[in-house]
Amino acid sequence: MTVHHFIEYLNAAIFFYAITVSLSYVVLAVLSARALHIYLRKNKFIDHNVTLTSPYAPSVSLIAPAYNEERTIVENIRSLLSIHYNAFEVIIVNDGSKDATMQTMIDAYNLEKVDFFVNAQIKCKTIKGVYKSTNKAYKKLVIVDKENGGKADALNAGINISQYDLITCIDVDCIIEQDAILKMVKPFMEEREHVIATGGVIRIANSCDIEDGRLLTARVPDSIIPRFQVIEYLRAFLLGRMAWSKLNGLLLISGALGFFDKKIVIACGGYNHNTVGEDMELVVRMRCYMSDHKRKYKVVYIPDPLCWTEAPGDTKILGRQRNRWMRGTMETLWMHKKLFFNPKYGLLGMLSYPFWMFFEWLAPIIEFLGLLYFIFLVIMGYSNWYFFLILFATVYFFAITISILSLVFEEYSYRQYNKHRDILKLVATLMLEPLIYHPRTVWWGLKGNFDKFKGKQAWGDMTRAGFQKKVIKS
Amino acid sequence: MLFRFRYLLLCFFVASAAMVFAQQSYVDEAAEMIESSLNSTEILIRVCTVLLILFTVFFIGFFITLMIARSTHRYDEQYEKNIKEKFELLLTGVIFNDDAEMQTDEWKASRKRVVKHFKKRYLHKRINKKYLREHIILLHKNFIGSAADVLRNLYIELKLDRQAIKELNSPDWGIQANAVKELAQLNITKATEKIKNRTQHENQILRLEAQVASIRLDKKDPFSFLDKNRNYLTEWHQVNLAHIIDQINRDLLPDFSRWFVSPNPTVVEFCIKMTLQYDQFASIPALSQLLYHKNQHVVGEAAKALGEFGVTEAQSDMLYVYRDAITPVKLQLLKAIGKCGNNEILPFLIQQLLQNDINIAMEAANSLKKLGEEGIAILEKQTLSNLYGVGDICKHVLDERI
Amino acid sequence: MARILIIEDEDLVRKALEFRLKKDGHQVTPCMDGRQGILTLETQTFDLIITDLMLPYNNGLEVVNRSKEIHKETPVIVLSNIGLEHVVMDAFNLGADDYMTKPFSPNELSVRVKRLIK
Repeated sequence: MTVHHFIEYLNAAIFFYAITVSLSYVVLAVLSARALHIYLRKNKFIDHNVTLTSPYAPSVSLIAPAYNEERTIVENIRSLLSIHYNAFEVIIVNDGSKDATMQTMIDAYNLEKVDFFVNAQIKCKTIKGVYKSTNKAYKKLVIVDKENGGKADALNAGINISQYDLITCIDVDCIIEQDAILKMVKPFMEEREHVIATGGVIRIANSCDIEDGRLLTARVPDSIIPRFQVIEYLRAFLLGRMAWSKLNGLLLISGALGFFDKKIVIACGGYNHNTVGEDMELVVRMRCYMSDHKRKYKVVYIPDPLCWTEAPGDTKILGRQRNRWMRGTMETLWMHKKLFFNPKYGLLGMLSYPFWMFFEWLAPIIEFLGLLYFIFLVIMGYSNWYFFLILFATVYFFAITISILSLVFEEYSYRQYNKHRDILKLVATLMLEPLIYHPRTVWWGLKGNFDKFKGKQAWGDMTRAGFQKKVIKS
Repeated sequence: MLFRFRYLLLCFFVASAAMVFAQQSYVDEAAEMIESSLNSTEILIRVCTVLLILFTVFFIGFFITLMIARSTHRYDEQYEKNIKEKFELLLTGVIFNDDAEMQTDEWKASRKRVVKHFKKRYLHKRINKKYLREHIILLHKNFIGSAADVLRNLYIELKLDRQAIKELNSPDWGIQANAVKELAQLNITKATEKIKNRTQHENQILRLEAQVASIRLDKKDPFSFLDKNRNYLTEWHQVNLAHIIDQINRDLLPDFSRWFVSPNPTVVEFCIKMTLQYDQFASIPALSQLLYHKNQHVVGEAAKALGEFGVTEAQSDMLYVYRDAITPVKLQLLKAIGKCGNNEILPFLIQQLLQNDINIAMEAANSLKKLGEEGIAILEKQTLSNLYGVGDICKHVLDERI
Repeated sequence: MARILIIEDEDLVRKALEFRLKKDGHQVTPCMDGRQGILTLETQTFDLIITDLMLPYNNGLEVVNRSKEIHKETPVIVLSNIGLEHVVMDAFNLGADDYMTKPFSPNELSVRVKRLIK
């Protein structure tokens, strides 16, 4: 093979890849616009008050793992208990915290150990005790104390304890909108037979006005790193997932807030301890299970902002998070490699899986290689700078057009950031994003790949600043 | 797959490194290649330029859209807020003086003034009319009694109902559904026939709204839509229907066992729920028959209703269908037995407690507890059981704090 | 004339209650959420408390509980859009004196308030 041929092929391959990525974004945007429009129209007729007051509404178990949360746990539980729903229980799983989380809860809620029989339908570490409050006002609260085993293990323990057929898995430090359960249970009520999971939108809570686990006003984050993530999240949730859900090809429901049919979760063995991407892995496994058993199913996604989370504020922690996400993606893809272009799994095998593989896992690698290739060409004396600039500008404008489109969607639908200045801030951010932020995500993705192949397993500490800092007085 | 890629990548790296080292020998060839590909580069440049202009235009277009949308939204919101505040002031004054003793001549005069004021000041504008309708509906939803009546009269007096009836002919399902909803909320019966024609509409939302409206408005045969209902009644749909049934006069409720023979199992399920909800004891024999229904969901629902009604005679039928039932229905049957059974059923429950399925054992234990003293005595004895889980299950069930 | 504490997060209902009860000649203190409600009833005394169940921060059951802990004899009316038996029972078990479901008649509420204040 001559260099000539090689370069020709490589050019063609890179070109083809770039065109596919861009086109897929355009297709997703179109699908998403349609789906969002339909959703919003139907939504006008939905009165969640009916579910709230109905004796026939399905019962829901809320499961929240807690690890070293002594500072915030009492408030967080309180806000979970004031969620608007009628038939639900709140299960807090203390995953062997090293601080005083357990004692804090016992004191605040008058807990008492009870003779709870744990129906161990899925594997988890030893449960040391189950506690209930002696105060009747906290009847819905169940606290589980167990040995440390990680988030997936804690969720599995919670699933074993739960008494209802529908489960919601949440991060205890997230801010859940009060009507989140009402909204997420609706797809199950519409198609109980087919819906296996529902996911909601995660938004970024940095710099928002928060008081005791409740979001008062949404604000654009003050610092630049979270602001980039706002753009990223808007794009992913309003543009990406909406469209995937429309196609019924959604592979990921964020660990921060997910709603599942417990029967199916148990049938396929619960969360997997062996991956750092347990949220994605579970959805993929549930999908495989349903396909294997030739059952019709749906994974639904709700575009309403239901959950607010504090995003990493500095590059170091963000880097660790992205590194972990990349490893999680790789592990999930590897565990379910049989899906790769497997027509037996329909859309899941033919579209969702390859899409994730090529555009989520391989994207940073290919982008990096593109860069190397460019350097190579420069070394080789290729100096058509004019072409390079035009190409770069085109790609840049394409990227920011897609980003601003997601802002247009947000404006049309939820308008969480409601000042004029917010829009200007966000537009400025999205114009900087491809230049400043994107290269870093590529780098973190690469590092994730590198770490995975080296065999790294750990989660990496996710240090949170905690919402306490932002407490304002009413 | 991943494996192969890993090696491919490695090969690729090695190859490119080798090439950089060997560039000396290839440099001429490469230059030649670049020369020859210049033509294709020209074309690419042209394509890119066109795309670049296109994207730039799009970007600017979206940006302008965004700014305009934000301004108009803000203006609209402000306007809506202002106008609704005015409406609220005008309306609260009239509707909350709803004691008979408060309805003095002065009040009547002020009411007249309000109507006149509305007509003169606000209702010539279309958008105001829309907001007023929304606001009246909102208030009407929250209050009952004379406050609601005053609102309804006001709505009719301002001739807002005419517009809603006109909207029933709109080609858009959304507008139709909205009008149906409004007329139902305010008990306007003028267009009931028209609304009833939409109870089997292909659009799910319009269909539901029309059925809800039919229940609220039709005094003769409000539930006739169930006769011909071919569509699956989703849980969501059922919850909404049940919600509205809860609001109408009990005397208007039909005998729900009428639809126990419906070919649509979801209709049967729904009617079982309603039979239970409204204590239609006369339907108990028909309910017992439903234990032998071919649809398992119906069986479960029937068992639940029989249990709640406390029909002890049904326990032998329940035992009979138990063996072939699917697990979720078994659980429902056990629960029902706990509510309606007597001591004859104790041996069966013990047997279920001691078998392997934990979920079933748990439900059996719960039922034993519900059956009272003798059941509880059995549970207490079984707390010492050596069988896996049985002792702990009994302890769990007996723990009053859980 | 009585001092009444209203804890209700829905603007419309709260305003309506306020309007109606003031008309009846009562002195009304409105609160928007459970925590503010609990703080208020801890610092002031009232002749009657009207509370919703679904409230931000501390829910209505906690309000009933706390109120009965501090002033056992102050009557509490629960005004909720949930009319389910077990929810009503929970409220009564914690010591609520009356329970009304939404939508409600302001007239009827006024009558019940009068009865409880005596």
